[in-house]
Amino acid sequence: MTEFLVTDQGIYQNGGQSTNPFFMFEKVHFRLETTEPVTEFYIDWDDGDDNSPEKANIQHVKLEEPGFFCTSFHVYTKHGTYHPLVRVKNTDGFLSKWYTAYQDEGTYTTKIDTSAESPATHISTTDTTITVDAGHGITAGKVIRIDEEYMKVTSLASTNVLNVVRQSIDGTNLVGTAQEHVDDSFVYVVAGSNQNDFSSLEPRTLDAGQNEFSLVSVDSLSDHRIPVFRPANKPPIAVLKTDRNRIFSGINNEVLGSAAADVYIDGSDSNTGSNPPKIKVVYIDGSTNKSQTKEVTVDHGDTISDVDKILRVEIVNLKEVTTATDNSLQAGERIYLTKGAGGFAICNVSLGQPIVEASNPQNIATLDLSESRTKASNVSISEYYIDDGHHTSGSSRWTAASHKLQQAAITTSVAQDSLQTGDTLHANFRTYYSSIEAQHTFQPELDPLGTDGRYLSKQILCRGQVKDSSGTTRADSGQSYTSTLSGDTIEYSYLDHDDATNYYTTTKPRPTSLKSSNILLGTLDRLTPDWKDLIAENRDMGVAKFLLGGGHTSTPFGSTTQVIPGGTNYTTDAENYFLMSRKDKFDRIFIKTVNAYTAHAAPTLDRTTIDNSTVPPYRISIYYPSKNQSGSIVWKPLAFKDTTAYESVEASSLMRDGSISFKPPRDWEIAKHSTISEWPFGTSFDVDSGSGYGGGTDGPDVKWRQDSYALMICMATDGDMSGDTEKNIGIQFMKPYTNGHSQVLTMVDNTHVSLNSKYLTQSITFVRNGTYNVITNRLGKSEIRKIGAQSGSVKFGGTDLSGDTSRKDFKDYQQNGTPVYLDVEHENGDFTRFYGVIKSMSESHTTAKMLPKFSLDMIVSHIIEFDSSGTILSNDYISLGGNVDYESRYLQ
Amino acid sequence: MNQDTYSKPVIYINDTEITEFEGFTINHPGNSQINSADVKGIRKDLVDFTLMNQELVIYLNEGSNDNIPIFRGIIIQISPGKTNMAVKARDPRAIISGKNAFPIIIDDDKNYDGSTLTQFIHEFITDNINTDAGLTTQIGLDYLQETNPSLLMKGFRTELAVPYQIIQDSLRQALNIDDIEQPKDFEIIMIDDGVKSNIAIQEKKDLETTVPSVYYDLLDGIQSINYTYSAVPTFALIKGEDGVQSTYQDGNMPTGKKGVTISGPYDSRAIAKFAGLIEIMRLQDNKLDITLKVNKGFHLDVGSIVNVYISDNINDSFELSKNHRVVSKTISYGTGKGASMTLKLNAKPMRISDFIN
Repeated sequence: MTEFLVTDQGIYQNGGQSTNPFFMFEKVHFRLETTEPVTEFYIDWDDGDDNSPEKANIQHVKLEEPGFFCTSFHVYTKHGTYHPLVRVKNTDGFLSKWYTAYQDEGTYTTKIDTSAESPATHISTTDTTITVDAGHGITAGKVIRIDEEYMKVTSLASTNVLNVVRQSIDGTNLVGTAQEHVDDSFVYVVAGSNQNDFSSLEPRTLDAGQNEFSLVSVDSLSDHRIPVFRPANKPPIAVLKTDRNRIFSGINNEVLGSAAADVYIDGSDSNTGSNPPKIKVVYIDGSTNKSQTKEVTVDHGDTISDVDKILRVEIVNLKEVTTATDNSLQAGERIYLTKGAGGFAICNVSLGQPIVEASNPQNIATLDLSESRTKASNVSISEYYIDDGHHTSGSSRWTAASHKLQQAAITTSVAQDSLQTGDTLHANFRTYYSSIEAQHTFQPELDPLGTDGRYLSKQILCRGQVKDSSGTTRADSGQSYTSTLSGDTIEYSYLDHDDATNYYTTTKPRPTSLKSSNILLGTLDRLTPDWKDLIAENRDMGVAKFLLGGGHTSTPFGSTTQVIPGGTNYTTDAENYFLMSRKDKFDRIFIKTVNAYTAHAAPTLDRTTIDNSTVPPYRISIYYPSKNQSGSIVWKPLAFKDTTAYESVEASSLMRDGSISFKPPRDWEIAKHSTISEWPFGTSFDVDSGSGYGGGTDGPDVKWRQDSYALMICMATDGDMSGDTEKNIGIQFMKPYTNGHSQVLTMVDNTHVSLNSKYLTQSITFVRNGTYNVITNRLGKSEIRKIGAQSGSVKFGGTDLSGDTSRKDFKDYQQNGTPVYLDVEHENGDFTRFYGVIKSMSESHTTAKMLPKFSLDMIVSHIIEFDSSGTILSNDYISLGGNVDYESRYLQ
Repeated sequence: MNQDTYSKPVIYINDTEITEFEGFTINHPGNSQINSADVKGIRKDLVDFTLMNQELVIYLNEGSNDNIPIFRGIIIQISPGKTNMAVKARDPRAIISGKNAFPIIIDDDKNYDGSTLTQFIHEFITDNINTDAGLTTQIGLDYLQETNPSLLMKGFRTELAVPYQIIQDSLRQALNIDDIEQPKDFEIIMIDDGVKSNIAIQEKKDLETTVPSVYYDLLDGIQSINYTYSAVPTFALIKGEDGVQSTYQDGNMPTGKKGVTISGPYDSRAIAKFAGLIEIMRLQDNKLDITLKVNKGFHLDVGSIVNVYISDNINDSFELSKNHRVVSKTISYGTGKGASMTLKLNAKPMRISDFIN
């Protein structure tokens, strides 16, 4: 049975509770008592459309035998104030009136100040001057309420001294009972009339107390028998969806920020150094009062001033060369556009992808919050917040350096009371539409290149949060309990957090379903663990990094200074540990890394000499709590997938942004520190050594106090990483995303790999095939309508020659589905370049001493045609089967 | 794991990953009907494993890792074949629907007077379905929302009845007519939050003002499109109680004479005529029925608004290019074919009306 505390005015609200929460969608148990035996109870809960018999939500309790009370419960499903009406039927079959509350709570305005009076502790029942705190703004003629007594203010004796008529609303008639009032009692300005609207049942205005003319009887002003209910709002639920969760690297205009910026052309990736081919750039000139869509042809080292948006980039000379040649590119070389010289990349072009456009739908993911919902039907979504994943470079809305990803939703006014059920996304993530489009690109120093010259795919965490309009339907004042803090503050949807205490223990009670105690604790040292609560680091992109793999013992968490690895080798003990727990089971964790690779070069896989061009040796293992044969909870190893690793390269975790995902173990025990029997990772491993961050209070023994699903994530690295070049390897944040408000996008480099250097010994064959509709009339003549073009395939092959890698390369491309391109030179000097994927490869190992042969079937996605000087001839990318239609462009 | 592999669906049965399967079909029929999933090609030696009533979870993982499953339900049928077997699962509403649902009696002694439909659902599921403390919630209630206007259970009585049938029948009476030109009805959908599947009552979204969840065009997402035009009703014949009858005509009946009959508890001609007006307005959306085969937006919910843009207005109607409502969806995955989704847009199955020509 839930018990509620009644506050002033007979109001039941969460702000007035100390133990039992009072929320929507939670049962309210009640007991109704009568003064004579009755047979039936009728309760209009006031949450129908109105109180008329047709629309009222009336509960009927029929007693088997006449009695003096009944018990039952009700669940409120809307937000607001409810004034139930109650009636009974007596043993003679007569129905009573409807009894309901008088409620005129008013607005909290000031407090009594009796400190100068004698005695200084209270106002007596007969005093007619009330001294209040300064700045109250109460004027003559107002009606005020102190505790349960109403008073009419007749005049102001001085600024803070009110002359009043006690027990009166109108200054003449007495109501209620005179009371004594202690110092600091709250003073409310009231309307002076009943705020309980039952006009659909009784259109006349009724005074408090009994009457002899109405079907409705209003409760006493001061002796409340009929309650008023104000169930607190439950949080809305953010549902973030995306139309596609795999995108190609496109044009990331968000790098430019909120104002027009200069764009630098960086062709230093090419072997010609300072003289790669020119590029054509279509952009929006963001100069003041000069907004125009323009096209310029620019060269390496050029700067385009005041760019608002890059719309399209195209290489002028498409011809591939095999040696460094001015105004030409070799296979794999790229030209970047960056925000200023040395800034973040906006996009890149290469012969494998010579045209990029901002409007290409394959580059764009739509992040949509429109399916979010509120809990109460009379509340709507009022604000949308979308973090679209531009965490390192920032965006036009949000700046990585100065804005946190999320912040605590708490107030310090009353013991760190939580206002929401979790953190709130930074205010700058707010969008004015329920959906936005996101486009990203790879960054040369942050994202590693693969051995085929394409960037390794990376994952991008996007999150959403919504705010509801419950602020407009909120009535919970909360003042009469211990503070002015309302118990009805929740208006933001839940956002994942790492707070162990503030969203669990609150001054105002909450249902268990709305409380969560999550942790992310870390230590850099296994043997003397100096645990740190990583709540702040995990909220913030401004902090450079918060962890490194095993052996990084010399640099504090969250430091912006360089981290110097040391300690043991990754093949021995892990030195860094992360304890993560969540209320519900989770099965995937996103890890945002921060790395500093040598730009434009694939990291070497040979770790003989480790530096910033090497795949960093990191190894991760994970443990989860589970019961052993004796029933004790111990840590068991967990198998997982790791997309932060370089595919099959050993110990290559954390080299790119990605996820750790696993099948949630069936024997995953919900646990807390006190229920874990063993901490086998090190001596006194569960206790903060106290030497550094938490001063002894950040260990699992202190932070992990609530039952939750936990993982111990262990990381090891190479102790030889003692140079200063690999300094920036680390993790920016890690967050579970098994929830409806997160989406992970996978970004893939759509740069195609050149096949032109491979040895081909078989004919290259392909068919250009249009699609036609042939309509033949009665006379046998036909109208031929071109209705489209077909794609197709290219067939070619080679010979497996000793000392040549072509066969192996082709095999790798086929196995991995690597996008490739192949040039065919025609006799007039024109070229056709085929882009696609090698679908099949057949190998023929013949008898005798003939050389093995292989044949390839390449599916063509699109082609491009250019002349002998590299100038494009086709209408951009076209189908193998020919031209079909005009393409949309920003500038025609 | 290859970075260029696009489709990586994962299936769990009761937390055990099923690594051998040929494909699956997930059907969201809409109109408050129960979603289902059929998985084919599961290895046959699982036939003696405990499968019935176990949880089946499917992550589509099309393009990237999904945060929530595309389907969560309970297995209701196993069909062994020669070499492998198929399983059929329905979403958790199956627990409270169909012949196997535990029936409910609502009489003068035990009733839900004083509750709205939403309060009834909440109470019934809390007290009768999600009763095993500490175990997984079978039907989540986190997304349950009140209807506007509230549907009252006052006076509702029934003998042995299936709970979900009561819910469906009651919900069909709910209609938000704040804007009489765009009456909004409701349907029940299931929304997964990554941990459980939640029952939700969804009000029909406004076609014109809602920001579409997904944009489709011929260059972005659409694999094929088929559509049919149907004349919408222009008049209504309404039958009420005690011989009350009325008619409603929509303007000058611009699209010809096509009628609909309605019956209900109308006790006056005025009320009956108003009901006819609302029904005619409600059916105006159903002029264009579209079947769209797409390759993106797999996590769309039934009831979502999508935008279709057809640039080829010579071969296709310009009326296609606007917002449409998703009324059902079917996702198919085959190991050799990948994933595709067929959306039905706009066409709502007929309910209280019978068309007459």
